[in-house]
Amino acid sequence: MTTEARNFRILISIGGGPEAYAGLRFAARLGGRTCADVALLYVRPLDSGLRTGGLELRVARENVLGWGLELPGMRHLKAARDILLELGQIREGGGDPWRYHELSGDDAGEWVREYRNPCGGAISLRLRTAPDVTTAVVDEAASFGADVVIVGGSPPVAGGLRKLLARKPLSLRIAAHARCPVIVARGMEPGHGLLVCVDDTESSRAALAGAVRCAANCEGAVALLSVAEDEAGEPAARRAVEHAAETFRRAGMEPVTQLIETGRPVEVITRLGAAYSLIVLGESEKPWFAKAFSVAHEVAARAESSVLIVK
Amino acid sequence: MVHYLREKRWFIITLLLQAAMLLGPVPDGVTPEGWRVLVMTVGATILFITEPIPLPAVALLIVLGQVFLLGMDSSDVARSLMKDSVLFIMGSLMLAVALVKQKLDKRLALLIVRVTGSSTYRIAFGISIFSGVLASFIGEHTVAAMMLPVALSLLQLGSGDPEKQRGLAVLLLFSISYACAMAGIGTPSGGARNAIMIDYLRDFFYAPDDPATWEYGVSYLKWMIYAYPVFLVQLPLMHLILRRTFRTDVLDLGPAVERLKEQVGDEGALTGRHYVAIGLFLFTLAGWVLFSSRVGMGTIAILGAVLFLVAGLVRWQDLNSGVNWGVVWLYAAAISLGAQMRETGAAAWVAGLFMDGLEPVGLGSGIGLLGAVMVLTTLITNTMSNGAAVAVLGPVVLSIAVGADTNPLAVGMITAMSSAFAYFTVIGTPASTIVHSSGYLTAGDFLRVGWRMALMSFIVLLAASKIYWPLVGL
Repeated sequence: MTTEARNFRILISIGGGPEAYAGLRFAARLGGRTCADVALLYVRPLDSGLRTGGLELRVARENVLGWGLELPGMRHLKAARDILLELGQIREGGGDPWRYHELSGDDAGEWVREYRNPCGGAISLRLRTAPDVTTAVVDEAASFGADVVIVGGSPPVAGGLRKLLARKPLSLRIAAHARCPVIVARGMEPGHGLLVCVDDTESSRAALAGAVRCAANCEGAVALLSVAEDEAGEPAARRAVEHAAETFRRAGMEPVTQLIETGRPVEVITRLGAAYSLIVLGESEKPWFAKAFSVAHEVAARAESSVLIVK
Repeated sequence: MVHYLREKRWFIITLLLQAAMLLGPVPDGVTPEGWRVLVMTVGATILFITEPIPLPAVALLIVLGQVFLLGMDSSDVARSLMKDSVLFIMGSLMLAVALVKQKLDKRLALLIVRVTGSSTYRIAFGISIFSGVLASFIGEHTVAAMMLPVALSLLQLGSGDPEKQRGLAVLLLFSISYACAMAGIGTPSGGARNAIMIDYLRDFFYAPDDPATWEYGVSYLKWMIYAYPVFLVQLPLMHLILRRTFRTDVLDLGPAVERLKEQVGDEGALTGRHYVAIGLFLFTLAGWVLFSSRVGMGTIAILGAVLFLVAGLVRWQDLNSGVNWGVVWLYAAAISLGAQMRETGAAAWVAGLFMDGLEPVGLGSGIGLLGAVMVLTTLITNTMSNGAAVAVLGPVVLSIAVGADTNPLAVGMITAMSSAFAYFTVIGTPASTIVHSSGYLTAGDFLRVGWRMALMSFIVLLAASKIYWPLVGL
């Protein structure tokens, strides 16, 4: 199969929060436009026997199953399946039976159930157990050949001590490690357009191709934004926006707005981005452990809208 | 490679820290052997908390360290691994699996709702009382595993609205987990930490030929006299805190209770198998109360497990797959390392450091010291399992008690009991981990209610140590 013949592939990491389901609706809409293959993944961390005092958590889970109740992973996947049914992406009873995959490095392997959407794209529900959820999602994205990963964003952490003590949210850890573009989903209400943020650097220009591909797959108008830290930086910001506008025009899309702003990039992008469905930024070139201090990841952490980090 | 390094970063940091400690000068006041034991203890503690490698591997590393770093004879190391407390941990875990497999939880659920009626808050309190009383004797993990589906059934039958379900979930699930955690201190068989502390007290202070030391051979009943009232006082206060913190709109679970009764009614009455299981459990309980001082709690626990096997109430395959034997290894290795802490003087040296910090602020003895030990234990136990926290801290706090002329028995009891105050984190207690596995609770929920619980428990325990314990001779 050639690259051209292959469907667009979307991996959605669902942990059951409402944001993950919003991402699912967005992916279904995206999948409808492009006939994408969509994989929904729930990863349960491997149990630590010490945390349960030496009693395997399996004993509690088996007891829950014995009552006819469902475990969280299956509950979340079924909720996602119900949303897909409601959206008409799959038919009731239309899926294959659950299949078991052996996975290298994952003792519990993976359970998969596949459906076909009306245009022929594959929709799969995947249940995995792994020592580290971030690594499992990143591995799954690589093995699935995902073009984009969608993960529900956490609400912004309060400041002060709680921010210092809180662990980095899963969505940002996945965004830091995944090799493909990542959407940190928040609400994902369509129809408000995309805010594509650029600057006058090579990495930003390189990310434009991904931004154009995403804009082509998404509904909504495109606005371009470049933020200069001071007045001296405005010419470079203008150049970046004009180059981006030209790139979009060559791809057959006319940007509706071109914005040049001055200020702290994270604050300006977060403020202006609140009016858009999706903020699009290029990935930072910083190493994974320093990405939290990059504009893209800070915006992903603080924005009220969804954020796409293009790799 | 990046993922591998990220996953193993704490192991690499631990090795580097240990190498720096070993290659650096040995501090004044501690022997080279004691310093090497401390290096191993620091490494084991970091690995307990961060878990970058499988936990049984930490246990095996401790064994190897004792032979290669401390130069101990391998037979001596092997002997130091098996204590009565380790037998107790093994036996009680097997009993836990055996009891959960009897499916008595549905009858228990029926009994609870018959007693409490359909009021949501009464059901929550009823769940707390039943969970607590059971957990005080058979261990919190057993009860949490049994009660989890009871709470899940009630909340799922109680409302179809996810928001309302979550409101019910936090109330009912925390009613189980906090009741179990608080109850685990009530009797020696309530948790591994109690058995570990009893072993430490006996090893450190008990001499069969010296009547003055006999008080350190803590019997089952004596422990209950010291600890059970503390649990009983905390239980209603815990319920009030939960009610204030997590108010629910669903005040009546009548329809859910009716459907639960229908479901359980379909199972039929108790069978002979159930009666035998209940009989064996009561027999084991009586063995702990009446004979554990003579033959050891571990022996009674093993006897109970064997009886369940012989009676055919549980299969060995179930026990084998339901017990995490690696954790038993881990406790064994941690207790063995604790003994080395004492024998090499490392525990006394660390205790001296603590005392140097505590004395200037007036916490060097008496109630101040008990409070400081309580806060220290609470901090540690929120980062690792409570049994591991007591295994690591036990030798140090008992040495502090000796240095501070404070009753080691009181300090030991405070340490074991405050190791239950792991209210802030999911991983703090087995019951918290089990209810969190339901998927209804978030880490933030534990923080939101945990500080209130901890404050209440601090006050109750300090009041008990000041007012109640002197009345019962502690």
